[in-house]
Amino acid sequence: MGTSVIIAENLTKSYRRVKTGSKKASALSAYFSKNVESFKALDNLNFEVGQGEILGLIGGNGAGKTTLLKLMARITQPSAGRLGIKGRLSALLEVGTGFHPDLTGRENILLNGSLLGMSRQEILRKMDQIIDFSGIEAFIDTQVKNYSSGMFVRLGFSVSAHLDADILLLDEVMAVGDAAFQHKSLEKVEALVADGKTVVVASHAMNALRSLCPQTLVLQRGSLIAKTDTATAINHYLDTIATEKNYAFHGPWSSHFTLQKIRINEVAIEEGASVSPLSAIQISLSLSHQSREAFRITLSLYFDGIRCFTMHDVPFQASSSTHITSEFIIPACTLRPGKWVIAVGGHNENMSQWFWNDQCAVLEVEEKYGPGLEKINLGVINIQGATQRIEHDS
Amino acid sequence: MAAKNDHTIKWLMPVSNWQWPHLTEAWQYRSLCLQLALKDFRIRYQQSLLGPAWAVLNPLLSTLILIVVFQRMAGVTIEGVKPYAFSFSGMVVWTFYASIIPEALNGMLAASPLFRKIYFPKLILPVSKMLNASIETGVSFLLFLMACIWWHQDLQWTVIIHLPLFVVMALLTGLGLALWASVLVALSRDFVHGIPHLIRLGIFVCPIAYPVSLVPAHWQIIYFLNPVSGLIEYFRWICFPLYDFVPYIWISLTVAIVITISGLLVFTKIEGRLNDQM
Repeated sequence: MGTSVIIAENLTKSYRRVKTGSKKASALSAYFSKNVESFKALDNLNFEVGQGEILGLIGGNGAGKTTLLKLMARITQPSAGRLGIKGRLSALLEVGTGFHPDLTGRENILLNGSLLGMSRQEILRKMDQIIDFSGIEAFIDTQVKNYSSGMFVRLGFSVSAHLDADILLLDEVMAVGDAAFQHKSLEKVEALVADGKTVVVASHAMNALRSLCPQTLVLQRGSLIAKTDTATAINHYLDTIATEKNYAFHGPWSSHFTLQKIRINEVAIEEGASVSPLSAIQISLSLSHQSREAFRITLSLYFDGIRCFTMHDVPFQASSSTHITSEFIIPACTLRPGKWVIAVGGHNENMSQWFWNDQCAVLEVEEKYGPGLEKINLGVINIQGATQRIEHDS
Repeated sequence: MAAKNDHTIKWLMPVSNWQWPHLTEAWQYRSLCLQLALKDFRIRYQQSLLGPAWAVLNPLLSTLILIVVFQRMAGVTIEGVKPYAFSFSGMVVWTFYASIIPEALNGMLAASPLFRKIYFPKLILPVSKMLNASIETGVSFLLFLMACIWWHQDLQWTVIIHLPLFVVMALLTGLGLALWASVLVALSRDFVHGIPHLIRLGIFVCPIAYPVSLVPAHWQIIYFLNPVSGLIEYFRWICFPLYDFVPYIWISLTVAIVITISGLLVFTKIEGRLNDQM
């Protein structure tokens, strides 16, 4: 108990939302209106994070990851229960927050640093380090509005990373700036971790979680499913996708398209989506639509949070019937064993309209490769490319 | 500085009861308050040819306009007070409130994207706006003193003793009004449009360019429910010799204290919900 730095006790966060169909209202009228309902973004969470622990955080869309991070960062308050935080906390949720375009880089470091809770002396002491780390010395006395977006985030990250925090919150593993700066950022985070700081990382990149976090917390629709070792946690997470059957799309065209059924090799996916990779895998998607424009359906497969490949169907004409089925065939011996996440989407010809759901279902590929092949075929997908052999006499 | 070596657990809980703002925490963020005030100051005069000279020009011009407009209308003389000095003294106090309220209101709107991304004690916002408004008011007070010398207006030397207490009262009232403006704008954007009209009305409702004696006696209690009226009269009383102390000033000062205390309480109550509401 004595070493816990984050303690959640019956932690609940509910939001009031205006019922669908009623007019958007101000806080004042929402207070009096009957058209609001409450929904729980987080429901009765209990967990502890120990000093120096590196905890992963996974869950589907709307599972409550961001809400939990926001609660920890004190951006929003619990509705019930309580959350204990020990020590200073730094949230790298959105870098460069509070930068003012009309101020220079140096002035913004002072402003942003004090926004993060640093004292003036502390910022002035670290000023050179921060500027040096950002790598934009030449522009530090230029107004931020003249910065490129890359320079902007680099400066923002530099300020956040130099806050002497005991607990670090990260939303997604950092994709800041160019490759060199990303490398520098990751090194900085690793240095903080080596320093004994506690880190909470929310991510879809399961590969990164596996290598970074011994323990991971799984959320599903606001409830805590498990806090366990990362490999087990990822399995739990994939199970939540499989059981949830959440086919709702997002994107500008999301209201025009409804995914009705996913069938794997002529069997509905709910009835066991375990297939052998040794023969071709047929994935058929049944959708209904109200599009007046030609469109294409796409299918992507994710492994460990990485989008491995995307397949596009030929365009459907606008006049096609409102119920359509798209079939995708993945050649035999392509997918490696494991759990693949099926993502479904679509778009019009110039890609200006689209819809997307990156967590529709889970396809489990069985361990059917022979013992000999198992050793050879390391990786995620197999490619049956031709090989050539030329033997040279020495 | 936020608790760096603090090894006690800080519990975050739902706020249900009325409570005081967390003043020690706000104090830890004093550097932010200063930075925000500095930011506003820098940005306000940026890209203008005259730059910070506007901090002097603004109060000067608005006083000139007021003197020209009002001095013809009221035409009532007060013993021992030159008409120009009379209007100017009213303006010095009035401009502070006329600038702090819209500043607090717009500051709240401008900062609302921040609420969703970062934590800081929100009390810092109205306080920083108050600091900022104090700069121009301070300049305008100095101009007032210089003008009094120019006009050969007698001043009480005791003003030096009374001034600090007056400043504390004026600042507290300013904070109270700024807090209420912030609370109202958080509740509904209607106030963004409504409040500026109240301020415009204030020029006529406060005794800036006419003496209080013009207000019918039976209306005076209601008249002094406006804290700014009392503060203007209070300011004149400490500046000018022979100036009558209107006992109704006590009503204004009491109202001012009520506004400030209730402002702090209500602001703290809604502070935690700002992120979800704005």
